[in-house]
Amino acid sequence: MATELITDFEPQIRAWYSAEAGTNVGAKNARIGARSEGMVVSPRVLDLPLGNIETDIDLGADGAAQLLAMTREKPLEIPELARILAKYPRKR
Amino acid sequence: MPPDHFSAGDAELDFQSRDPTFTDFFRTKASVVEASGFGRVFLLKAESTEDPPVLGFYAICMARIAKPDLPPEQREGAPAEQMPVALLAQFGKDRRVSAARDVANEMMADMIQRVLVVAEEIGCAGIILDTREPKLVLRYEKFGFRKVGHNPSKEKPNQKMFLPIQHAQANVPKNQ
Repeated sequence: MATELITDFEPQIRAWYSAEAGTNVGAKNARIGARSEGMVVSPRVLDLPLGNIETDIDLGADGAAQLLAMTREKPLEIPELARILAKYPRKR
Repeated sequence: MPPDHFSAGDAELDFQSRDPTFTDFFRTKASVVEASGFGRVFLLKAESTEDPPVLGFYAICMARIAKPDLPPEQREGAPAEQMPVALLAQFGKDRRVSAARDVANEMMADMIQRVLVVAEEIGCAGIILDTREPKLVLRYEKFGFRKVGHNPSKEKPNQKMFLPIQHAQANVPKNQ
């Protein structure tokens, strides 16, 4: 249960979460509720409706290191990417 | 017309994917994701009545990559504990759309250019996606995505792929 994820928070947040978040289908309301307490809460913690989209991505240590190394590469020319970006520019 | 935001009523449009979960996302989750503000869904609509009403759509949101247990030398230069990325969460076309149509290329170009705006304004390490189809790995590789990590699960053989933001930026035509 996502409720368990929030047990380290302040009592009033727990109370709000227990009373409203589970039954509140309005994601905007849930987000506003969290913000009103001056908190930053991820969609995952609040179990909000991003469908089955997982926004905390765990690649493991090797995968994370691999990705980090890719972010440090020099820019590459990618012909097919350049072709579609030229064919479909941002402002048409 | 380029892809545009999913809007009220679009879930009622006749969209049919080969993948039932993709169709289900369109009909039941896309409007909720869009309304939540945590993700965005973009539709490429048909301009001709000979085509299905929605040629294709994609969903995108921000995500983060954890950097667990990296040795100090690999952490250097990456001060944050998580790396912010754009997540291409859904991407596909209607099964009735001819392969000759450039639907996937048009949506890919649109998606990348939207992420480049985000990267310019608030920062973003790149774009990550997850594919279940080996043949799509080759397609995404043509756009510069590369396999990252691995998934040993035979039941759910997903492959994550990543496009660093600097590679995307480098391939935007100079006159744009």
